[in-house]
Amino acid sequence: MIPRLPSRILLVALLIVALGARPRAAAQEVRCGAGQDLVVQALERITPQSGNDAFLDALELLKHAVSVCPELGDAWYYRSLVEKHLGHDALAKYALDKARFNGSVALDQGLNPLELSTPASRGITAEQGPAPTPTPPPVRPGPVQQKWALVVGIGHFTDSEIPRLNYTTADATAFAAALEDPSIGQFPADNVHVLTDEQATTKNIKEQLNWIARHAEANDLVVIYVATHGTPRTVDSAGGANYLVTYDTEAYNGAQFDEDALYATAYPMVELANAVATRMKALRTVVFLDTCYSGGAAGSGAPAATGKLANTAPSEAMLTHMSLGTGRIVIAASQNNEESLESNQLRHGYFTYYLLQALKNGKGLTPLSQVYASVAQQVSQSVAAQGAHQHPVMNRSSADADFALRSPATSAANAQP
Amino acid sequence: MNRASRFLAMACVSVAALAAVRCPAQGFGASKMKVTLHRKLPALVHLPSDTIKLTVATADEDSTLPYDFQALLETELLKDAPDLRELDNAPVQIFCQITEYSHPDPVITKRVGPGVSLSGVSATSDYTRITGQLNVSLQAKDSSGTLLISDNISATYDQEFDSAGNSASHGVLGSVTGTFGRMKGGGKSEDVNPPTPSELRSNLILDAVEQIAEHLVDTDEKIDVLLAQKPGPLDEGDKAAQTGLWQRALEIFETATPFPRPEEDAYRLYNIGVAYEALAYAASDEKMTMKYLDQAAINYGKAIDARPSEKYFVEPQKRIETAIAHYKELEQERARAAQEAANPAPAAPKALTNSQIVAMVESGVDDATIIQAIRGAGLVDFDLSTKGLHDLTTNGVSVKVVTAMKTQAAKKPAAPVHKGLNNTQIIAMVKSGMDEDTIIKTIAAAAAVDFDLSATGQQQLTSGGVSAKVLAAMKDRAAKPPAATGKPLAAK
Repeated sequence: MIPRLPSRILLVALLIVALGARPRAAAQEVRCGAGQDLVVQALERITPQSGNDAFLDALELLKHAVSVCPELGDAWYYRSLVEKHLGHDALAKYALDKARFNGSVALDQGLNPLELSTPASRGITAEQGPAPTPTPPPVRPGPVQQKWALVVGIGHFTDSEIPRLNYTTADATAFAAALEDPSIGQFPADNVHVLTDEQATTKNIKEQLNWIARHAEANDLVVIYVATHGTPRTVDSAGGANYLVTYDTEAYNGAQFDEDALYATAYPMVELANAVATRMKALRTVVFLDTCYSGGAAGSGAPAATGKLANTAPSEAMLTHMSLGTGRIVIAASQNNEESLESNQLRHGYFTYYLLQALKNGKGLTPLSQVYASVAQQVSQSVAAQGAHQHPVMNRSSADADFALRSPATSAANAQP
Repeated sequence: MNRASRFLAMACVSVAALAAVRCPAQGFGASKMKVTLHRKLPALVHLPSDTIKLTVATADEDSTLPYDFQALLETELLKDAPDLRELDNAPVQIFCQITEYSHPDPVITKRVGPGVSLSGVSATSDYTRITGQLNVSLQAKDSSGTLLISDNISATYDQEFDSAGNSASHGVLGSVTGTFGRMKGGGKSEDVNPPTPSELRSNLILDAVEQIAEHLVDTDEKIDVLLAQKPGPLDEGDKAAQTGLWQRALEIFETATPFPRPEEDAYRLYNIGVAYEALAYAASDEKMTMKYLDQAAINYGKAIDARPSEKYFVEPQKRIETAIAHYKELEQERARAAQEAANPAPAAPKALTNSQIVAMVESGVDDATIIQAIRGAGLVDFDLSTKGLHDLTTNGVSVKVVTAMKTQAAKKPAAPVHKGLNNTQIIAMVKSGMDEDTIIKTIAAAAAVDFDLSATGQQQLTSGGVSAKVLAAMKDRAAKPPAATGKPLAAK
């Protein structure tokens, strides 16, 4: 629900009070951490389909972000896009000048969360005719040309207070191997980039997503797999993860949970959503998210204590955001109010274990909707047998968005001597 | 023109001139709006200890000068670094040599003033010019005698006053600030009377010790700054500024339609300068601070160009110039430190290590400078094992720097080339304020020398300030064979 004006004012007022109460001695990065979170909140509110109220909300948040941290170039850049969308051309230019002055990575990379990279009309050869059809027909991508993958698994973190995960690294490595396996994914090894632990910094993840965005074309297939902690904005929130916890995320200052440090260092889920929705040109893109705490007490099915770092799966809204466009499939390990569990017996997370099984059994030829159905059933049953609950979820850009990691044609072609 | 009309014209001119002189500055109003900024400047050098030994010496006949100077310097240092302690055998030795203290007698001149007399004749007035100068050579060394910082500090006063005691140095109204380099607070802006000799001495000392403090410790000074007022965007922006919302204030000032008359718009530009200055002091990194300070300087400059007679525009511009100069000096000091870390003294060459790289990162040296230092290092001893790489990453060393470390480590060390110490380097040491003993020790320890001790060379050294004692040491060293450790360049 989009908040109306009074609630918008209340929102900003609460933010001012919350930030104003912070002691002056706190480091400037903290201010900028808070500013960055305001940018994330603004981006979470807007998609290309959003109404003006959402843009006005986002504008208030971005104005506050630049007030909290004037040198936050990305905030200025996104503000320029929002001002322009609202028809405030002079202020859009002013904000863009500020983005240039302060330096903005988003501007440098030409990110635009307001333009889908695979709109429904994409890939259609315009037919000559007197009257355009009111709704564009579904896109029919051609045969898969190239395959690209980013696989991320993080089991331990620079911040030693963040609970370790036992099998995320093994999950990522096994998943990457399945992608490269000629009898399953058949991905070229050079096109499968794996980031585990020390390599999986926020910066590196962004860079690798950029790498795919730069290279993948419309008829390519893109797979993104992430296994780590996911955390909401506030510890008490049950609304789904706003951030992915990367190797260099700082969530604690001593033993004290520090939200501002988290905002400044973690990877915003909305950035992943925008990367998939607005930057990946491939008409077949699937994202696997195993992003909540998998308890060390696996086997019993009971999640381990997470300290003050709340862990949760992506929200429904975030999955929808990520699946905007054409040919988008997002499969998450659990619902946003559930933990995703690991198994000492399986030596994997339940979700990834059954995902690997399903891909292997289908030799990569099974459509992902069927892979999901199989995984969802087996994960639910296995976890239920341990006295816990975990239900994988799938979100698609359209009901008919479906594809396999390997097509029969390529399979047959590769089978030939 | 008859006598009556000429008289009327003169009267009009006089009234107009008086109005120009006496009316409060348009834009600041009678009840001036002040805001307080925290002017934070990082120290130019990182002192390795909180325990220091401070020594002040002078050749000046004013025997109390060093004592007063030292007392004020101690107070100034403790104000910003309350943990500092003074001890005779402290690991940090700070030397201040007062090299010049001049306070010539005031010079009185007769000149035509800005107004005209009722008789139509230009009025002449007595103008008193007061000048003073205090120069100090500053050196800080650690317990091993390594020079931490060396600089020459100069405090200058040069101000002219009319017979009424008003400053006449800047514009029609005259500057109210004097020419003190520091120009920090608004307090000095009301100081219009000529200083007594005692006040001049105190002001020069205070100016110099403030500069020295800015070299040695992080300073945080509260300064009162005026904001120009005018109903409309200026007042609206001022309100935001008063609540500390400087970015909001800046946006209001910058997006407001410029006033049609340049002399009016000068006040909007001035307020833009103030907002940038406030943002500079609050910025999260030094790069942004410099960018904001540059913008502040540009806008203060534009304000002065648009209304040169506004006395309140002068002080902020000087304040900003001082801050910019400080940050530039800081940059140079860091580059020098990085260079020294990469190229240790030839007598004891040491390989560049992980911990030195981490130290550079922690001290704020940017990636480009560190990479330059790595590439320039003759010898490296990096730990590039998994643990070593992990430690580097967790200590904030970027991937770019790690890549440069790997590349450099893969290279074979270049054959050592002993470049001889030469005349230019000796002159540079003298000009940097290095003391004679240190220079002589450096000459004695040099692995190789390449002095030009011809008549021309000696003349060059003498005119460069090199003393006879240093020259003698150079001659001694040049006469000796190369040090035993210095291997022939072509040895195989």
